[in-house]
Amino acid sequence: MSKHRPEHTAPPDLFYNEEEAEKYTSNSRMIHIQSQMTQRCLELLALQNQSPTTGATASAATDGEAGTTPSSPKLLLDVGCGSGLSGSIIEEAGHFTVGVDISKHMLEVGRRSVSGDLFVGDIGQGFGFRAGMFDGAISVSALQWLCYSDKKEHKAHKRLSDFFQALYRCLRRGARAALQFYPESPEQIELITTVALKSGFSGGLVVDYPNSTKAKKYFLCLSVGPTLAQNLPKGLDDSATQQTASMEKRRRQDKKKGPVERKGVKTKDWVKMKKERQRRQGKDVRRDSKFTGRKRKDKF
Amino acid sequence: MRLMTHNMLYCNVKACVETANLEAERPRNFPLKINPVPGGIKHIKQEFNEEFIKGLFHKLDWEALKQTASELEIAQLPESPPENYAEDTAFLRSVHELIMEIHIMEGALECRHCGRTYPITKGIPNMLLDEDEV
Repeated sequence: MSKHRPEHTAPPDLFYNEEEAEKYTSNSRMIHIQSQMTQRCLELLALQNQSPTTGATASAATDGEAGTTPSSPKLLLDVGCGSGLSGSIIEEAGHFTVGVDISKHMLEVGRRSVSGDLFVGDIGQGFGFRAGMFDGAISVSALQWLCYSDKKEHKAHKRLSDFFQALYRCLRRGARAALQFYPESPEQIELITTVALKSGFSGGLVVDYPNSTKAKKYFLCLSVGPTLAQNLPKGLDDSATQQTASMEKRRRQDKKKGPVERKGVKTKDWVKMKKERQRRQGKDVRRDSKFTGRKRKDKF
Repeated sequence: MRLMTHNMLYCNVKACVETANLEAERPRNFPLKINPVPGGIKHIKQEFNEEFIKGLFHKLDWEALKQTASELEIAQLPESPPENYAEDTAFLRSVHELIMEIHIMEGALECRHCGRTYPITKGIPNMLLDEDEV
């Protein structure tokens, strides 16, 4: 876990000052990660399948192809929209956003890039939208801020439940919310998930790249109304459980046979295994070819 | 802020919400009254997206929109929307102009129930509440 969590330094409305807002928005790595996560959030919303008649069954069947067929334009709520990096991606996909953020400075930067409406608000206080207005909600790296109490009056549980209740109210029936967040500890994940489910949502946590520390991403995928529990979208690369199972098996076999000859290091199999592992972590890996794992010719 | 967003916002002060009777046909904390400064309303052209307006229209609160439009002296809307609004492109276009192209840039929102005001600067309303209002 990173030592430099902004959540520890200052409350969000103070942390994202003018300078920080500018930095955040011009950092190409930030932009890259944010846009990737926004796209994944959109995928998890599975918007194109949501028609009032077909409902949840259709969205379960084609979850994998989400985002390939254009859907009719929807009204989405962008929670913790910040400087509008996520908003502009959603607009490119043809939807309309209303964004809320606690940092005025971030929003002022955001006004340049997003055409949707923005307003200043603390999501821990809930928000005053009429019931059933939105077709979906997304949030990129905002939710974890609610777990920290920066003021005496702040209680994580209260703020989270105010937020989820307000969110539940303003989404229409059948709408989904995809909320990406950076939990600091398993307790935070548990707190956020339980509060969300208590507020009436169905759904759960989707974890992408569970094998990698760096690429691992947590998405809270929630739905209003029809249950999401059985057809919760799969996290990208779900082979974690299989892998531990095969490890277990190998260990048992090893025990039986007693000490065995060590397999050669940097053989073709070893290289392939390594590459497979890195692929699972979502890294950029060269494809396998007939030259994989071959020794280079000795040269004079 | 567009009139579309204004059409969904109500006053979120806890004491106000509790007494405003949100579930009623006409809750008392909605719609918020718009007090623009002179010249604080801007008309910004935007591409007309018929499908979006069509999808949004049944969620709009027509009474509130009518009241706001006449208070701001922008348009006089009919008593009720036409029955077959989905086929009436001209009507949808006029709705689009009203809710998507009118921006409140400077001014304030005022709750008719509790009198709380929310400032709007550079088109961004500040809906932050004080701790004793949550």
